Amino acid sequence: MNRIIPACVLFALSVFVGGCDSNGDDPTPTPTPTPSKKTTIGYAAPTLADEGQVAIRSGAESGAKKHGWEFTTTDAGRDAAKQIDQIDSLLARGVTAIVMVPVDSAALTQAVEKANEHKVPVISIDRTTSGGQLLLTVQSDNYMAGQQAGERMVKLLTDKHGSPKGVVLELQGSLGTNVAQLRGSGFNDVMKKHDQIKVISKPTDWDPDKGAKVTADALTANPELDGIYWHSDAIGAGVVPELERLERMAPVGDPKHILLVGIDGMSFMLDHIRAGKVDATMSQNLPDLGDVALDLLADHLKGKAVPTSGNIEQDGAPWSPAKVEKVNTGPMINLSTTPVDKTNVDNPHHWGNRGRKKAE
Amino acid sequence: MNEAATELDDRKRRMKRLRRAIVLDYSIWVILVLVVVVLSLLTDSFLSTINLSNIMVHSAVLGVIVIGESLCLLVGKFDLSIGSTVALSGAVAAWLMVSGETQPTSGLEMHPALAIPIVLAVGASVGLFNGFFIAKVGMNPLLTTLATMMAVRGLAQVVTSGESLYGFPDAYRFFGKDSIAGFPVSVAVMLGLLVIFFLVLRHMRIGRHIYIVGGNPGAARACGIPVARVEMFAFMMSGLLAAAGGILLSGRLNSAQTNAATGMELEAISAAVIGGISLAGGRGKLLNVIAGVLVIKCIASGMVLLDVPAFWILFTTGFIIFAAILIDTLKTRLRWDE
Repeated sequence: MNRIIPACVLFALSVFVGGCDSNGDDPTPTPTPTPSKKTTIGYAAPTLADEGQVAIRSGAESGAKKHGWEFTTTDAGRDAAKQIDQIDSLLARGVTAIVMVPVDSAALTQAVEKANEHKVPVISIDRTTSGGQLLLTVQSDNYMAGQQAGERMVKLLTDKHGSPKGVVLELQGSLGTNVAQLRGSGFNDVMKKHDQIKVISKPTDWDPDKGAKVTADALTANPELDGIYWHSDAIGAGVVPELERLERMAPVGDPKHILLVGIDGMSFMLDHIRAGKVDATMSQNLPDLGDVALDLLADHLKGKAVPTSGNIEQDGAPWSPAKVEKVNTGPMINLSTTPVDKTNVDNPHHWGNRGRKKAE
Repeated sequence: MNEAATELDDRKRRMKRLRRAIVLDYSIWVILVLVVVVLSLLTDSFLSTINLSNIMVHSAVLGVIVIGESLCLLVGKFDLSIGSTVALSGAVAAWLMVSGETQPTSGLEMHPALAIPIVLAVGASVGLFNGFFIAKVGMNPLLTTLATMMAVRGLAQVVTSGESLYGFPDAYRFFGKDSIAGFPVSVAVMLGLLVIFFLVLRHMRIGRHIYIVGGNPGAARACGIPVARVEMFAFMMSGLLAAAGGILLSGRLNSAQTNAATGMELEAISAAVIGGISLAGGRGKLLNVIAGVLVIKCIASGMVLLDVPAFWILFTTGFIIFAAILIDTLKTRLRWDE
């Protein structure tokens, strides 16, 4: 008897291990129809353990649903090799097109080249690859986000001092990344026009903890600091509690308030804006990335070429106008970012409000 | 009458031995067949040539490093540092060979024939370092290789300056990317290494020693087997094979990242255990391990083909590993009972 129980469990398990991946959780038990007939989008996410990536994915999914297409997602868990493997599997499955947010620009070039061999169009959103032929790339206009943040900072300084002057701390992302460079140059190109404004720039590697430490050090060195600009709300996540700890957090409008401006529009930052702690954030239109990309894919499938220059505009769309440029991988569409402050923070279109809408 | 009874007894015993062999020794092949049958019934594209070749190519890196991990498990130890060693060897390879004009590399632009032995030596040194402190000094293998796992990934970060280095010479990428007559070189490398280590384990003295040391280190020592040397051999091979895996991976990706192969050590341990290598040491067949690798990769590919919701994949993978460890434990219990 003592021997039969483990043997039975063992057998049951071998059956289960064989079967569990198939029937563990499928709301649609339809056997796969001939894959080439129906338009299917294979979406390769870099990770789904990140609210921004979840927002980007669901935007792409609803874009696909709008066109009546099938949509299937893979999650690479931030592992470039795994993402390439998953794209291989999507190609084997016979998807019509691949939409991806590459884990790594260099490594994912391999996957693009393989899809090129199979003549399957590839769209990169949020970031791009360093090689291969993409049908198009859609990302946020990071230079514009930096510019908008700069202009907002100038306006806030003018409101505070009567003229654009003061000391501003810039908390930079990882300096090697394209995104940090653009968000930095957009901001600094505005600041350069005002010689009364002094900018102190410090790298933080997108790390909230480093952001907090750098802020504390900068406040020690410059107790009269007027404002802080962060390249990502992820960095700002560390700054706000640090200012509270140092008892330097005064509400927006208070003469002692340190002006706080960032980029991304993450949900907790919108809460900080509602609470009157933070002045503004330049919200990326993340769900629109996939939506715009799939509209252009639909045009492409109908035989209409993807634009390679000029602007794409759509009345009333917050991402409009989108600047189009040609880069080595193909056309690149840069969606506008939207400045968010207390006056428009509750607009349900901001991706940071997605969860909130459901909760209420 | 007596004769017939003996014959019946004999047949019964043979049947029992066969059943026992299937349940205890070859259950993984049964599981692999089940997985393949179920997946091919559920989706047409699973048995397509392109998907089968994908699964083989995707198995190559794991298939190489799992050999080293199996050796460590067979001597009754662990190696958690192999995922990091895969990343370090790719990083060192890039540092030696990739042009330094636009990227932070050595600028040596070394020839692959020179660079590959250096990369393999780096991997073997990591293994030797682990092996020395675990076998000779007597440090705990779990904690030691946990520490080297971090340190080695840190080294990879130092070597790459945190960047993704790319653009290897074609000769280097031969192993990871090319095919000969439609057969991927990386898969050939994996199968070749598997056969070599199978022969080592079966026919060479060191191979037999590995099983004895893992099965009962005290008895092995009493028999005069150099236990520490055997354990160091296992760790050194583990590091060397991780470097070989790193060469295949970086060649395939044409790039090296600090965070490459993160968590691959756990994937290797699960593949080895699913393939029947006992966590208690001294038991298991290397050829079954490849079935463990294939099961993991078939399921990974099947989950994409079947459109399993992405949020469920991690859970499912974790659950399968859990099931494998449960099977290992149950098998040990079955053996005790006999």
